[in-house]
Amino acid sequence: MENFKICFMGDQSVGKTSIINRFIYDDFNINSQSTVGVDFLSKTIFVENESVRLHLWDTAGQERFRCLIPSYVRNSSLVVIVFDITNKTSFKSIEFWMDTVQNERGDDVIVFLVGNKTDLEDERQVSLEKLEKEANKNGFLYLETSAKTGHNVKQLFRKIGISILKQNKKRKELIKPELDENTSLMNISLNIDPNKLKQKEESGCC
Amino acid sequence: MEEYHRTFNSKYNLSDLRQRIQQAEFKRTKIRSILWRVCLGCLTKNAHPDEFYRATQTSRDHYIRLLKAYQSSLALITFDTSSLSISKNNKEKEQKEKTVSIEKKKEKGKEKGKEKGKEKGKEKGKEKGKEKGKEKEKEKEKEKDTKDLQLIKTITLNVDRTFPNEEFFSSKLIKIQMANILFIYSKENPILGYKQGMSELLAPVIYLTHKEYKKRLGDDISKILLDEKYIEHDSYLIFEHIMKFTKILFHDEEFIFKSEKKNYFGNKSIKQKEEEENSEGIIEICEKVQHVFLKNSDPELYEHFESIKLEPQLYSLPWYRLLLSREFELKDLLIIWDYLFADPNPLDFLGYLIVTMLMNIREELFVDYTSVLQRLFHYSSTEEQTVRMIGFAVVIKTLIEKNHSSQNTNKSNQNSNNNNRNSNDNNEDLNSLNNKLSNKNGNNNNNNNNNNNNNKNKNKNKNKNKNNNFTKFEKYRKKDLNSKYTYVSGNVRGFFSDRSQPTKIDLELEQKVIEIRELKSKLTKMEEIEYKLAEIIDNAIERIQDNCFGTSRDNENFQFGEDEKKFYLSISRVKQVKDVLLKRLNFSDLTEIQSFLQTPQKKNNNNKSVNEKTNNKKKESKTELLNK
Repeated sequence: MENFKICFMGDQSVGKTSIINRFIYDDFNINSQSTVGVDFLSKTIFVENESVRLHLWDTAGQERFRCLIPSYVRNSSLVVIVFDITNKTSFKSIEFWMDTVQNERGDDVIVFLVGNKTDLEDERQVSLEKLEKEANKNGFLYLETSAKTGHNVKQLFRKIGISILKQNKKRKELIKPELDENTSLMNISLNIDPNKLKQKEESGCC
Repeated sequence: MEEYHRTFNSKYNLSDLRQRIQQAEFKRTKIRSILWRVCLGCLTKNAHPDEFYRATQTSRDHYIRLLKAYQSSLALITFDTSSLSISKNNKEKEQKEKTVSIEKKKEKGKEKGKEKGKEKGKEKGKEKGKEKGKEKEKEKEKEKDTKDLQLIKTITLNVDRTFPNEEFFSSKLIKIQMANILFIYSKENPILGYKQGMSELLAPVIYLTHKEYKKRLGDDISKILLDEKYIEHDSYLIFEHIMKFTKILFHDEEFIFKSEKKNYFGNKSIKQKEEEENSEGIIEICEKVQHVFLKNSDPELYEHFESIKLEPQLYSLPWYRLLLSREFELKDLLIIWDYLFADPNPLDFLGYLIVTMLMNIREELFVDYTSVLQRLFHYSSTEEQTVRMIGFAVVIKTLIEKNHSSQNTNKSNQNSNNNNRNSNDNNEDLNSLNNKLSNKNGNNNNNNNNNNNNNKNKNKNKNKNKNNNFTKFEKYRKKDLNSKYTYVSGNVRGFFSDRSQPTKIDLELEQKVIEIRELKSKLTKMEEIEYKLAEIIDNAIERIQDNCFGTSRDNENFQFGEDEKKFYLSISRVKQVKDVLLKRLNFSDLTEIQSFLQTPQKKNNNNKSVNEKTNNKKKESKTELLNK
């Protein structure tokens, strides 16, 4: 089973921890403790007949440490940027979090935009259209959730699983042709240096 | 307040007190909040009550002034369910008025006069500002207001989320007090501002002051130092002093981010560079735990962490920042904080404690990256384990500090294990213990065969054949302790490659050493008591003998009634001593009457030899009793 690292980011008290808790424990706590530094949980899900182990990295919203964020974002297969639909500033901060991620990873990572707290529809300050615009501009996936009611949380993680698997397959496909060539070469002549083969394989994996 | 007088008597000095706290003398103290204040430097070095009073009074006055200065903003703090919004001005005003009145009630009596004066001054200032009518100023004020409001929002949100499982923190009064303190602190330290986690540092302080101030007794000292009216004031003082050394753990670049929001990813300014250098502070501290403290206390675990590429800041940053407030139960946490604050370098001590926390569960940590993180992010320990861990942290600390001091005098000889023995007196206890351990087995350890033995022991430890390998075990322990000295004495790197891993048995051994030390001091105390008891019994017997053989009647000054009284008193004295030896009576209760029996000692030269004999006999029987 393959492990995938998923990093949750976003301003403080937008509901990162709550979304994760809803997903893992199916539980909601209005006053969950604030995250300091980073938290870590993992869960296995089944998507498209495959089991995928998700490592969820829950970062602190207030953490703006330049030297800490890289260690969180490094090796992430996917980054979830969460904002609070009742809080404009948290929506504006998306830009900051995006830049942070891209500074570290370039375009090498899938980004999910999540607007949380749909249960507080009355206090909404960010419309779905805005979210759509923002996401399409950058080619991000997006979704609105409510950790409180559990709305869309399962779907979120299903989508995360699907897109991770897709990306993984793409990567494997990129590597495969090279391997095929090599193996076919192997069949033709036995003079191929096995060390070279190994090198190629390794570089492909990394 | 007996405890207060015992602690702050004429012999009091701060470094002694620090040591005594770390020797677990104050585990059940009722004046913890005073001890904290003393250790954190909130009070004066001079322990005279008047000095304490004065220091307390000035700090309280200071806080009262701050309360007034931020009055208008503090008035916005509310824990009602209706959320704050900038647009609803009317509501704000109402809230202002409400909370202002609450504030006023809080600061009854004395301050009322002053307050009114200041308020008037403020109002006048505002009016003048309005008269000038400059729009820019107004805008600035508005900006300030919205900033304050945001700060308040953040703080109230986080206070609401502090220890949600503890019932104590659900009280509105406490929430408001906490929010007040945090707001004032963030305003007074604008560069740092409010950071998540501060509320968790404040919470134990507030918890302690509330519990302690409400239980206080009626005497003068507690009336002033533990005055219920000033819970908030004193908590602020303690919190402020805690932040003095934890500040470094909170520094990040948030404030730069705010001021340069638009071009934060442009060219790096000097400011940012400086800040990056600054922010390495906490990373360095976190790395020190793993790369220095852990590496030298448990190299095997360290190697494992390195092999799975575990970054120390992942687990130790939250531990450091919150001073472990989430990892332990509140009541245990207070004891841990005693030790921290008693230490002149609290963060170093915390480092040792973190290492012991890791070593405490080391068997569970030889797993893959994910499982290690999962275990460390949800750390928990029993009370018993906590106490042991603190003890072990103290041992590490004392070893390091002692060897630092010996390092200066004995630099050249520190390389081999054996040299530790003659290096200083401080280690005598431990070393003599080591010697005993090795002598038992008739073994003189050399560095060379230690290597092999340790490797064997390692395997055997793992196999848990502890009983069968007793002799080797002893040796292993010895080696282990010695290695610690050598690390501590400065050979940090390289030396430990040949060292076997410490186990829980290590922890136990180190603790036993402390226990032995404590027991030794107890023993000398008991010997003193024993001697005095013998003296008393001696004198009493003399009196009885005098009476029985009628020697005193030959005396010119003989007074029948007086002498008979003394006779009976002497008998009762003997009974009392018996009671002390049987532990039915405290020794201290004896001392009052002692003076009267000392007189006869002078005149009796004849009976000396007899006395000596009886004395010896009594001593023997007493020691037997004591041994029992």
